Amino acid sequence: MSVSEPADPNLGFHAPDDEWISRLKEALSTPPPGRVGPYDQVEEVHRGGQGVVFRARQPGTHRPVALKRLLGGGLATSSMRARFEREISILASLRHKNIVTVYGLEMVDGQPLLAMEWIDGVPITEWCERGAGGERRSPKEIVELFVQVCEGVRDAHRHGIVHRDLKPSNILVDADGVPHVLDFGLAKRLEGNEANLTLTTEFLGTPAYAAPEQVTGTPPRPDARADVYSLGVLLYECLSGHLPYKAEGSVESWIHAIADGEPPRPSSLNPAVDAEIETVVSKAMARDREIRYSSVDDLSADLRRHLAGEAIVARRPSTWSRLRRAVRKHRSAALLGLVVLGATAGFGVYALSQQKLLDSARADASKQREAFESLLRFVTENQFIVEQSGDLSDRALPLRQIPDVRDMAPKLLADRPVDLARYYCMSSVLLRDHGRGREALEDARHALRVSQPLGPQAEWLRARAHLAAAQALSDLDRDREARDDAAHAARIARSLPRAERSTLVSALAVQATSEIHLCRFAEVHHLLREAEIAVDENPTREGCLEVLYAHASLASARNDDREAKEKLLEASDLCVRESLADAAIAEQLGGAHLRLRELADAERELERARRVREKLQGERGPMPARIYTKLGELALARQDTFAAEKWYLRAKSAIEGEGLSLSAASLGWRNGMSEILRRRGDAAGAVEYSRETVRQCAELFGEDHPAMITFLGNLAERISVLHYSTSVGWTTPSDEAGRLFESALSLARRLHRGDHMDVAFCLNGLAQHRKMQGEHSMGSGATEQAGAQFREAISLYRESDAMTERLMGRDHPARVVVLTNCAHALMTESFRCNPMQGGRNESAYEESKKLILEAAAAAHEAIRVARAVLQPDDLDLGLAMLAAGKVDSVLDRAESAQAELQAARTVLQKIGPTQRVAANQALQWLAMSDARRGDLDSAHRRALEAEAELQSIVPADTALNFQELWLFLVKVCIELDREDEVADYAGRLGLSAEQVQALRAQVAQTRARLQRASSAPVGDK
Amino acid sequence: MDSHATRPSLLARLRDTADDGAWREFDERYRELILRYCRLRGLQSSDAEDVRQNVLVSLASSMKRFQYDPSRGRFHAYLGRVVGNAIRRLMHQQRQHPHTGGPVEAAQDPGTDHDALDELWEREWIAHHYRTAFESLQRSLEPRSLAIFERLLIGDSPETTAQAFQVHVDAVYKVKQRVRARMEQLIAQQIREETGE
Repeated sequence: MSVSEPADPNLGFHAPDDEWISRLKEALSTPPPGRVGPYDQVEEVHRGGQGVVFRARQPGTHRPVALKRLLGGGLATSSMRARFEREISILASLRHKNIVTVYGLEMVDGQPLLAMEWIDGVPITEWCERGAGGERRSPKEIVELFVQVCEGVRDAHRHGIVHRDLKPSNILVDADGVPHVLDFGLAKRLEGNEANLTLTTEFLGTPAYAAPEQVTGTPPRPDARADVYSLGVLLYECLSGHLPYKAEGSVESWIHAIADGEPPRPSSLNPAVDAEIETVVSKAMARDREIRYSSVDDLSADLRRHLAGEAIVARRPSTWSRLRRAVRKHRSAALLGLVVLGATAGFGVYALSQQKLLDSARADASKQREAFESLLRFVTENQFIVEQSGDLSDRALPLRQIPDVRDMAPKLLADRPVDLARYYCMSSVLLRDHGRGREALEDARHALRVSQPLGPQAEWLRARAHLAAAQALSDLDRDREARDDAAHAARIARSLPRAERSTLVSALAVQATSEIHLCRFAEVHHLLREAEIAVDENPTREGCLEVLYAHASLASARNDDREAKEKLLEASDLCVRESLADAAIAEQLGGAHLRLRELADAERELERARRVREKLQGERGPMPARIYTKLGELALARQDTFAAEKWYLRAKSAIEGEGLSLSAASLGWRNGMSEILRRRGDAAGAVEYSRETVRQCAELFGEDHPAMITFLGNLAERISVLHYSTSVGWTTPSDEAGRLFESALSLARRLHRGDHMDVAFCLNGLAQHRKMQGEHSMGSGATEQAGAQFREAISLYRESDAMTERLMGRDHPARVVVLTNCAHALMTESFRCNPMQGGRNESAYEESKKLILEAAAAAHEAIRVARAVLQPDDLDLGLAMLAAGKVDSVLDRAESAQAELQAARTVLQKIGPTQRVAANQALQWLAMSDARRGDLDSAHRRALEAEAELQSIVPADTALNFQELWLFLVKVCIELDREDEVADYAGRLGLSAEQVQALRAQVAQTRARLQRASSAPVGDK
Repeated sequence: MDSHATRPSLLARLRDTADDGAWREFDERYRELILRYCRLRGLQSSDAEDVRQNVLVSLASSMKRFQYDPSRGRFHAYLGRVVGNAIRRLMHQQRQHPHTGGPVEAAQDPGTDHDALDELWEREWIAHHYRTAFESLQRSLEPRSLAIFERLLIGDSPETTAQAFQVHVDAVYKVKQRVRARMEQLIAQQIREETGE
């Protein structure tokens, strides 16, 4: 048979049917076992990454053994060979359940062949991937297994044997779930390493798991910490399913990947992984072996602590240590020579010794430097605690020591400006974490000042300093300055290497957030896009959080609270529970729920924010104050002015004595108090608070800050309320209120340039004002002018409502208020068009009818929306029903009017003291409705009841409130022939005999008209 | 017809000796063939490993010069010669160092009958393609069909198999037919790829 002939005819498929099957069977059969030295029944087993392994039976015992060929090179001389045999005999002396037992060495054909225990198992990574149900095993299972792996490696270390090539194929997990580590100390000896075929450098082994010092050869002698690194990478892979660094092929590309990359958090790949175990992995995998666990023992101990639910010793590598890596890369010489902390010392023990050191340093100046360095290290090492621990004592420690350091730092580091600048940056971060924004800002500025003259290699420090300043400023709500510093930080960070991507992301996020707060949206999308790209390049949890948070802020600023809520929920899933980020997100989420009137959700989130914030930062300072203010808003939304006051006062005392009397937090509580007083009817007090809020806001943020819109609008509204409550009879509306509404509206239009709830809010306010002006014009007989003013008010309400609908959809609570107001305005204008006295004017009558029907439509739409989105006992629903009741009563829809007024009264009464006047109005209108449908006795009874009630609510000298009621009583009593009472109420109103006579005529006229109407179709007035 | 038509053959890639991936692929593809062949030639496992490595080394050095020439035979024939030479060299070395206890005496060397050796290689080469094809088939065939076919493979009759799986015997024949067609197709494709045709 010639080999050069076409093969096809020989393949067996043209032969009888069974030919191909028997060929396949033969092809699949095991080849005859060869013989290896004393072993027979040898079979070859290929295992990924393990090279060739022979499975053999030991003669006699028939125990299965694994045979592995070692590289024979280097055994030329007898002394070399002797040393090799010694090594093997040490290996053979290792007896540990997690180490594969070595039986000995066989020389076959002059080749060394290692005989060892045969393990029927799978590589550790495979084991981790395939738990019960084929899913990845839980982090807990994996960590439990890893503790055993560590036991094995630790035992070898105790015998002076470093593995040097820990990788998945060297850790086999058997059917009982017991891990067995193999090939200790054989990295150089084993053949079959993938490295053999391709490597161009000296390095042997798999670069993916090798410590950086093994790959680069610096420092030259890898020690036990190289195994710590490999275990870290293995644990990372087992937990996340991915290798931390991605690189192809060559050793060089691995070196680059490890030097430049920041591996993604394991939790970003497997959400089941928690932050603490990430911290352990990250400490084990530290590029700098000085930062790693100093022994497998320590790694193992932390894993055990984690399993037992105790605090781990490792701390997440802080921003600080990331900086250190960056500095190392740029070969900046002047580094802190930080002494490695004895990792066995527990946190508390260390903290105690730290305190002692500080105490002695105070007494002995020569010890100061030592104390300082140690403290600096302490603070940086434990930054993780500051950020993430919920334990107050943990958190308090570094903070308590800041004052000591703050005094010492400039003196001790005078000749080391880089370190001093670094110290200031770190201190700024720490102070910020503790809500001490102003001091944080000071230290950031110090950092900038110190790093300014340092030359180009300190660019990263200047970026960090600008960022720290921007963050502190942002906390202080100084958005303009924050934006400038953040922009500066971003500008520098763009030119920095990838290791500083996190600085760029943070800077962009702060810049974006500040622009959003300033309503300057033009740049925001661009900034967020750039931040997203930077996060993609170097994905970290913080980066993702910062970008999501900024997106949420943007959505909120654009009135898209649903979108904001979604982004925040996503962020909430990402962030570490009970951390500061968690608190910030919960706070924003609570705000979004509040604006969406999801009050129960709002309460849950705000309470969570408060709990975490208080736990981490205590009850003082601007951050807790901000949450108290939001809780106050929530209480107000629930009409609970008492609880609201409690929260606002808490906010006040949180910032008192903190040098924050003029701050964003102080604006918040003042504005809230003003609202409370307004609702309680203390108009003067409300104006006072409101005026101070506006003044402070202008001083803090400038006249054209977006916050001014709300504050100006509120002030205008309160001035207008005060103006009426202190006037008797028809009075000129406050010019000041009008001016303020106008300027709030023009600011809102200027800043938002289109639809925005701020604009809608101002339109509503200005409409209110126009309506009041119209009422005044009516009172002073200028009916034409009044008409124009009512029409303007109606059109402003309509614009406000349409904008709200465009922005928030048909069913949004804000529409309820505007529609209710609009219904009132339409009703008033309808009355104006339809003077009951004088000659009849058909077109005016038609117009009036059209308007009242529009009023009814608006009021009923208000009720519909209110029922859809508000609680059944919500104030705004009550007020909408009141308006509808009035309109329906005018339209002689007696039944629905009675029902609406009754329901309105019930809701308003339930709300409590703030709405007693409104509840009383409902009662008055019930009386009027009674009269219109002819039930004069009930009308009389209810009117008297309303009068008595009103007297208990408002002082009798604010006669305005009583005038309409008394006038009504005069009319009812005329009809009921209660002449005593007619005289009484006419007297109180100061009516002349002629005027009473005119009223009698009017009553008779109305009665006649109503009787006519009762036979006409419903709704025909 | 398919994407393989435009893919540079492994052979062509091997000629560029810098292509580590191609070498690894080559090793993975032919490792078992070479080792089994050696074993059939009576070599110890460790010697078979040596042969495999030597084959790689000599291919690496000769591949640059090697130009595909139909008159010199197909690649598998060329590979067969390289493997045969490597075995011969090893045996020669071991004869010169008898103190190492060489395998030669124990090996059932078919001697110098070149035709017999060629035939052995040819058979193993085809068996190798059978194995490779079956491996890909195992990955692509749905588990039930595979299970049915494996019963046939161990010698169960189609009737017994049909009973065991509670299917009609026609279904079993259909599976067998499908496997056959697919195997034939896969093997043909593998051979095409081997030479880059």
